Amino acid sequence: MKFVLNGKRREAGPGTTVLEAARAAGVDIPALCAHEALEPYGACRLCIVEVREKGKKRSRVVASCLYPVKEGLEVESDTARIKKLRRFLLELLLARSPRSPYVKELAAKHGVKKARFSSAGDDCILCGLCVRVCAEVVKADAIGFSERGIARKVDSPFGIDHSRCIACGACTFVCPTGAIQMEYARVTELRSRGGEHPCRYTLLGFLPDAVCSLNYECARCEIDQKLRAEAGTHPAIARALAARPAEASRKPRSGAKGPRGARASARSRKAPRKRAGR
Amino acid sequence: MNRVDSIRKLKETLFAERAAEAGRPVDPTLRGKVAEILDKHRRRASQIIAILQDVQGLFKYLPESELRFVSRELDIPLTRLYSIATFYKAFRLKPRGRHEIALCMGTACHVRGAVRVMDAIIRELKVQPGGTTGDMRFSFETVRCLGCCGQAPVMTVDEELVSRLDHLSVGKALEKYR
Repeated sequence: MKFVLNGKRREAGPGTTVLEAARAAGVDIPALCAHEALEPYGACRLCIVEVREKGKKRSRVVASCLYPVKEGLEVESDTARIKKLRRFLLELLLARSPRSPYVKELAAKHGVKKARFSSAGDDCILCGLCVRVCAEVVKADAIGFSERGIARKVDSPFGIDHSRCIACGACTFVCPTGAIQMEYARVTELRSRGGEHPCRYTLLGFLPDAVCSLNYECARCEIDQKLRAEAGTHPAIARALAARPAEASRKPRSGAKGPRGARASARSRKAPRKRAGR
Repeated sequence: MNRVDSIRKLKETLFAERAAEAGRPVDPTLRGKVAEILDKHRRRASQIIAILQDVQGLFKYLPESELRFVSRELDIPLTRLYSIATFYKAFRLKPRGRHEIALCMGTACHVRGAVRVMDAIIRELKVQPGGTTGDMRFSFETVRCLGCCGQAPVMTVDEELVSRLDHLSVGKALEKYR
């Protein structure tokens, strides 16, 4: 499909989103809630671009992570209008999560130093990365959103039920603001079972029936360090990435943690996703 | 049991144990009805809101055990059901009283003294809006317009309309539901 990106003619396969196509072309569009291992979600809205469909007079502002490339589409990723809107969004994010180095850095990059809004005092920006990692990558479905509007939050069912959590730590790993932390209660519960408890990588299916000998202090665990170093990211995420058809043109997410060279070494257990054009 | 088997066993029980414990039905005789509701909707995950509405129709609220049952039967993560149940105001996770009072706080009712009526109910039943009395007789809620402003101030008790209320008579009006 032929389309125009910032005045240059480009081509992309059907089903490709504008964000993917732009990144493949080396155009940097900031995005917070997009992650290569996950389905697009459109929560942070930072990836907004102006698009004008073929034959239309007016351009529209859309989230590029969700917007598919169309024949004859004209995309502008850096107009004055987009910049202004993006800065506003960053201000909101900064107010929401003033302590997060990642959000601060992103805001500073776009010229936002201070938010004019009072701080919510809650680091969670509701981007849903943790929820989606838990559902799509780990497949544990231990956490989800609850309530709505200003009360919306990431929660486990009934606020306390963490029975499906396997303490794999993928949610804390993807969280861009550090708002989600492993609840010690779960770790303690796993510990308190006495005797032998399975390693979290056993529960994830990486190690065949390994027993934890370190009382779930994964930070001190050699196996944990080794698996992480090998994957260059959370092992479960590396596995999900490896299961996707390789796409050399894809560029790493800005701020993606660690090198991704070790992707190939991660074992693939998941069937490749079916997505058009890949 | 050898080591490997014991680990496998532990893995299985880790998930099953707690879910089973909390999934014990509040009322075993109604469990069959919940299953009937699922069948009525052909056990389709896409019908989840209609299913939850019917389940709530049965219990007046969504008991945790039944949510777990639905989750297990339809293979929908409990997190998903919990987020639906907390998103919509129509769903309740706490038990409701035998009678549901909805007091109108709309403009017409307001000018005709709905606030005083509300205070009287709070005093009389010792229940705050959104709450349920200790004896589980009444759940009390305030709503916006009930659509019969001519009879203001009004409230509904279950399906019945109680109109032209005032703070002195409301206690008496509620007597017959006790």
